Amino acid sequence: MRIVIIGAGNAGRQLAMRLCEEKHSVVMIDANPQALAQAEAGLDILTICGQGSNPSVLEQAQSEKSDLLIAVTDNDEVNILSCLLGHAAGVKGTIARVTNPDFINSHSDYDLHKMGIDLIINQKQECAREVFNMLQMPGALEAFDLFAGKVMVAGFSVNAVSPLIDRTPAECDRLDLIQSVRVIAIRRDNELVVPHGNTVFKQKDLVYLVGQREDIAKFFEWVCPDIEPFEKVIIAGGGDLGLMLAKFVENEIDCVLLEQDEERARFCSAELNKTLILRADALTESALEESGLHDRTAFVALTGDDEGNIMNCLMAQKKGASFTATQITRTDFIPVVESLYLVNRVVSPYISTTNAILHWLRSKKVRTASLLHNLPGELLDIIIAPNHKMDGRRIMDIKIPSKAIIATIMRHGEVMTATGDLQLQADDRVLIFCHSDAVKKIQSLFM
Amino acid sequence: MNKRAVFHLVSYMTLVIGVAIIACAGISFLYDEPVEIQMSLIYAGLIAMVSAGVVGVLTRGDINLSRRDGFGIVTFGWISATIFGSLPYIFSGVIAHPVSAMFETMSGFTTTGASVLSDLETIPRGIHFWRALTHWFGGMGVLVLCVAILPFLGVGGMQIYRAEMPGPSKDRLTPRIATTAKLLWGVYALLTLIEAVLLKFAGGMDWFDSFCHAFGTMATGGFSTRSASVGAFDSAIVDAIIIVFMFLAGVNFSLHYYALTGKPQRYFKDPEFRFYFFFLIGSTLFITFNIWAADLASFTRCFRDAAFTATSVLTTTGFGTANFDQWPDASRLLLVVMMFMGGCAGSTGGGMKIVRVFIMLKKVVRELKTFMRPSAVIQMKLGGKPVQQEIISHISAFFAIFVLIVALGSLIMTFFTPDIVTAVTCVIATLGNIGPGLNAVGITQNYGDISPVGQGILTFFMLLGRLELYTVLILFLPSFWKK
Repeated sequence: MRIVIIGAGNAGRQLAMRLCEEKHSVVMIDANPQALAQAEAGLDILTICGQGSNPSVLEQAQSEKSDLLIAVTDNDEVNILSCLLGHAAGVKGTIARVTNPDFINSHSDYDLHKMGIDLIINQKQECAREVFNMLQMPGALEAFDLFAGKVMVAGFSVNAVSPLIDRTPAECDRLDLIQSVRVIAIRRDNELVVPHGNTVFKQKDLVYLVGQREDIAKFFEWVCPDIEPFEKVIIAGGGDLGLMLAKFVENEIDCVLLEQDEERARFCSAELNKTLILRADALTESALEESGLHDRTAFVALTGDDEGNIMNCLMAQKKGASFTATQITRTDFIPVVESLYLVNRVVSPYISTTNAILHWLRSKKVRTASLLHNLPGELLDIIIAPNHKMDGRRIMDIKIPSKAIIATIMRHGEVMTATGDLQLQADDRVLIFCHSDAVKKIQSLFM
Repeated sequence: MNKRAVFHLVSYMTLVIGVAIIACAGISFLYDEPVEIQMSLIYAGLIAMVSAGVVGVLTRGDINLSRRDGFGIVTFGWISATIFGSLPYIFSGVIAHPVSAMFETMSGFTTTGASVLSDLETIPRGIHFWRALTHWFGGMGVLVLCVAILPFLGVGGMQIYRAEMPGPSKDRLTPRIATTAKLLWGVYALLTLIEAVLLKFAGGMDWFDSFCHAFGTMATGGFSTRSASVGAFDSAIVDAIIIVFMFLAGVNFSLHYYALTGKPQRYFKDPEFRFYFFFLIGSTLFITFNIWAADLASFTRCFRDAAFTATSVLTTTGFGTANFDQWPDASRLLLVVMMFMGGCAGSTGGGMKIVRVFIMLKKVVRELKTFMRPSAVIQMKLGGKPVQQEIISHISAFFAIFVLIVALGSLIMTFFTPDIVTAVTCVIATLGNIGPGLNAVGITQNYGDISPVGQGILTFFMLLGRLELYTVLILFLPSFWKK
């Protein structure tokens, strides 16, 4: 496919990288020559310098001959306009990133979809929902639902008191709990390990599992015995993301929002109902003191200042916060922050964008595809076609690449455990986790 | 530099060379030549393939190329191709001395066309075909061919493409570099085929001569199968066909691609093409009148020779129909200037490239204007688009290095050549990948009289010129080798 990406920021570059790996032809447009040079140095793409909403630039990129136009600049209006122009010129699909909720939540007569934008992504909303999911499930560093809540994917880190340390699954005393969920991936020192029966868990491993919500909750109680539900959530930074998160959180957990700017604080106060809003600099001891930080508190730093966010989390940890998460916009910081275990979780909004776009791209053949946070792997949801060679095949007879694992199977709305002697049937939905290298192989195997 | 990955890719390129050498054995077999010739080609091909196989297996693994590795791959790839490509000459006994054989091979790959051979009619056809084929591979670049056919290169392909394609800024026809490389090779192969067919049916050559000359023309190489070069055919039609295709080979191949996809107007929208076209017409007319005034031949003959020679020298091909060494000094000097200039960027021609000369001329005008009005801000434009400041300073540095190498090289070559004119022109002719120079290396002479040491130095100049200085010179920076 020929794909035009407008915007060479984090989301644009991340997307271009994924799409190049899948052998699509990518053209990237940005007004900033330095950002383009940086993108071009590491990627096999054509770059064009210019404003994405400028028709002559779009023409130069031969957008009209492209299959997809993705607009992910920082500017909503540019994104929308370039998608509309692209649609008018005959691009088959258009995707725009739109941050301002007013564009999305308006009356149905004024609908961007009607004007020809196929997918509208509100990166911040997606990201806020992801953080909210984590806050609802203490111990989880990542949690999202699939199949309308029937299946959940969750990630947790193996801490010092965990009963899993230095054991294989078979050596653990609560085998029943382990068998009720399925471990699909382990991240160890920034490497992805696809587990098998003899994999030994180590401290600080990030373990991802798939299962039903109740099973995962029970498993978590056992595996993270020291973690209790949060009594309070403190959010530093009342920007779009912070405000959205507060809206989700305030109905479930006590919420405090720290915002330095008087006017913005007032605006947040008008938008929110139960949240306590403090006009204070979150990077001061007194502000943390005033917000009532104690040991069953989650602290989420969501200002635009990466260094400040990290520092803020460290301060909160010192004060006793049991969970800290920080937003990081500079991609280069993420591996460092994660490898030093400075915070419990790094939030990077662009991942949600990439996720949603890849999801949409595959929607014709594969129902959902999700990226796990910073793991070079994906979850694929594949429907077995009638009379396909997989129809009637037993799982143990399928030659699955070593970098892939069948997570679970949905049959007639029921979750089936993927044991070796289970026979696949037509219309089964198979959830497979695989390394990015193996996506193509899996697709050719099952489709 | 990631040595393992660099040598892994060099081994792929060597494999291509090995296969091509063995294909030449097939040509030799077709023309019923002695078995020894075929065996020497097969041995040479097998040695290349086996070496490539062993190195390839020993160095296998992930390929993750940085910009630096691109330069390493291209330089070492070309050196490896020259070493293995010289084996057929040595094994068959056509060229005895290994340095001379490498000179001939490098001259082939870099599309220089300078030869150490004197009596070309006695050389077996299998060897002739290999000689012509080195031109054809080198013209568009063997590594660009590898980028086109190896599917796994990805970004690495861009690093290689950047290091091998001539010109100050590299065109990308399509988002993916492998597709661009495929299209360029496709256009190149198509033009070669058309020329070979025309030479056969309109020009009256046999298939063998037509293909050898088509390879030599489209690569702007200059190896002929005859000692008297194209002049041996003494046909106005052959001359005309070769003039047209030499001209086309000196044009940016992206423009040919646009023309083939229905946008021929792109030719004259391109400022480099316009400059190239009108400069060639102007210099042809100048030489025509200059030699006609000297009373050397009839006007039509003068025009025919002038057009052929001007095109051959400007595109750095080096085919000859007339002995331009006997022309008046004004014409000879103009030809030396044209040797400096070379073809367009993105063509198979050598030299400094028209676009660089053009930008330097514009820079001179701009400097003069700012002398007059010191506060004037003048953004240089090319075809209506602003030229980045980095490109201008890059080109200034290129000019300086080029002139420096010509000066230093000429000084060294005075030890190996009979006179100054020969010393200077042999450096220009090898560095610019033209082939023939003046006096002792003139169009009717060859490089066989220069000692092997001198040939070795010129071999290095050919590589420097083809890879446009930076790619090779960067390897001499100590920091290149550090992690």
